[in-house]
Amino acid sequence: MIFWLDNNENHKDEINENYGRELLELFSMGVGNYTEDDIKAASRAFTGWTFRQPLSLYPNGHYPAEFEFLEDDHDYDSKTFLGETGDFDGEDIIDIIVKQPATARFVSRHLYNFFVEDELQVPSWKTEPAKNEDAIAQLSKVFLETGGDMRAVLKEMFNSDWFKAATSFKKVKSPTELIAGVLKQTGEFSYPVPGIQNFAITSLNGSLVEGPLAIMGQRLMNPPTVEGWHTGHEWIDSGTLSERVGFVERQFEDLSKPGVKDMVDRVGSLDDDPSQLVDRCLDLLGSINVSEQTYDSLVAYAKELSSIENDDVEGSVGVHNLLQMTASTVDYQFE
Amino acid sequence: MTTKPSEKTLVVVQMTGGNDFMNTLVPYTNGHYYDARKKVVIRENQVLPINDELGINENAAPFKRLYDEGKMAIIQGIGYPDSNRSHFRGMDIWHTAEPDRVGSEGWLGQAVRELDPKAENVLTGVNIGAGLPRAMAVTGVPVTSVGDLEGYGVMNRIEQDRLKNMALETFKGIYGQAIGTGPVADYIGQTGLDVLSGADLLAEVADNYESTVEYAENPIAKSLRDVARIHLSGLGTRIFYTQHGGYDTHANELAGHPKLMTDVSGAISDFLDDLEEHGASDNVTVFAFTEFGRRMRDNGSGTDHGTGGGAFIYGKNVQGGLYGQYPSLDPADWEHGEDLKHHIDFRGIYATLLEQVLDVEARPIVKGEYEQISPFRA
Repeated sequence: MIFWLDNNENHKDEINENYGRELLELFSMGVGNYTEDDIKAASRAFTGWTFRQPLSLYPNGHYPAEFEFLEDDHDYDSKTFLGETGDFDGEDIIDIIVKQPATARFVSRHLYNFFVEDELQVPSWKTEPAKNEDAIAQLSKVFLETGGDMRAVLKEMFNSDWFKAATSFKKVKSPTELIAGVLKQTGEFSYPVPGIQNFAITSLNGSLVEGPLAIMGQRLMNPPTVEGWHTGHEWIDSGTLSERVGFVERQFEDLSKPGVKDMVDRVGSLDDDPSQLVDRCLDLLGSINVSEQTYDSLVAYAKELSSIENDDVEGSVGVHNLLQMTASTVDYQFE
Repeated sequence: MTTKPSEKTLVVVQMTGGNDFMNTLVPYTNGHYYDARKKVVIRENQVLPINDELGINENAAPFKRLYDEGKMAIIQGIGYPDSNRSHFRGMDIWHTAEPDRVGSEGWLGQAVRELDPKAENVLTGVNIGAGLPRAMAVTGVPVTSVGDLEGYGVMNRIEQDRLKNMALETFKGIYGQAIGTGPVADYIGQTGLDVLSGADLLAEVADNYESTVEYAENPIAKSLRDVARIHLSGLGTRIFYTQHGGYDTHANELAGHPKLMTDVSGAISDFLDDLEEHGASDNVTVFAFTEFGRRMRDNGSGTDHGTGGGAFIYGKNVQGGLYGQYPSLDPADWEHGEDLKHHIDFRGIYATLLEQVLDVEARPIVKGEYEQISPFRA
């Protein structure tokens, strides 16, 4: 975080506001709850917070970075932050931040968005109500009472009725979630073997081709901006949807993958009752709930596959086509 | 579905992160610049002068060439009142043209709706790259986003015709049914149908294209090459959008900014050369913008968020030159005591592009009357 937001370049005599600004805007309070002067004061308080990264003993070894506080580079003068004045350092700033109702609400809303249901995009939070205001109030209260103890806030959420009730598919899968879910199902990578990195390869790492993760809009460890990715339905556009569907098509067509073979065996023969075939596909792909019309479409497709299979001389048509279609549905995009 | 190649087309390049305008068009003889920029500074011998006061960063040499050829209009001091220093709110404001409230409709998505009110061509607006920008997003307005041109479409690996047709029909049925079942399902359902329509049109694009222009190997060059390939196929696209990231130069600006300048200037000039080679350069306008400029004073390693940036319009149809005036560098004139003042409201530039390039009425999109400029040849 210090490196990502340039706090190693935030010096006593040369303030770099990146860390101070984004700490407030992205990671605690949300825009509109503090002033530009508060950003400057917070940035000054974090001067001297940096890291060092000793060279590894080994030629290709990992260089773990360590936090370091440089006293000589810290601004010890008085600062005024969110109405309080004192010789604040970074920890004091965080203490003040976690007392703010705006922080409690902002963090609670993020947790709800992450664990329960897609919220509206962050810029509109200032003006638009939350999907579940009662839940946000409940979490915010615990946050303020405990001084921002995340364990307590999470415990409150995981024990709440609305959390346990949230079994329907209310979140759009991120590309990582979609790909990891499919790869788990195909069984190709049940233990570490070379090749899995190709799914995440990007032009930013010097590759001329991009892997499915990048084409679906998520370059891991390399978000488009410090804000991160736009999530929820903004994961989906015509290009990323093409890739989502194309990806499952490619993964489920290869019957040599142990998970695919296993699923095909368990679904059964195309001569079986088409409704049962669809039920098994939905179950195997993650207990997916589909609408009645989608269900009917899948059953019709299963029937048609059976008829095509009977006329198929090459033997390329099979149950895996039904798995592909089931994983190409609108409902499969949700978790 | 193909259209006359003479239709005017807008290509928008978003420089994401807040480009440092002062280090792009450098006031290389101004003492105030050197007083404010102690370390993150472009020296007189590192610029390609366009007059006695201003020079283009030498890393963007292709821009100097375009400027000399009269194909580059520089809009100095673009912005809006009380410029927002948040990237995200800032970019939202540029995307929706609504500084005073959180808007929900992208300015270019609205233009697509005007250009193609019955949504007859899903390629009227095309985004290149993964992630549809909010500028192009309006509920119910189809736009196409292409992350991988060669792989675009669904069910396109199935070889057997009967199965492929059945698969496409089933996909169409499933996505069509989703419409009307809730806002997110509506959106995904419609997007699925748009993929089907777009894939038919885009299928031949890669095969149709030939060019002697060799684009560099970097993301913005690849994106603009895709724009050229689609545009030259004559599929009726009026608005293209693409993004070039990395401009948030809080640290190590002198190490990172030069490559951005090299890549973006090379990509735009190669793109225009490519169009020229195909006799298709007369009606294409490129607009490059960023969400804000950067602070007057550097921070020793980079520059923090500021205001008063610049934007650029390129094309053979452009009346090259300087528009507006360079914001005053005198500390007495600085906004909030630390920023460049803007003189030109970005909504006036949007209005210019909407009315003079796309022939779309600007007022309902930019929500008011803003002064336009005249950057095109008569």
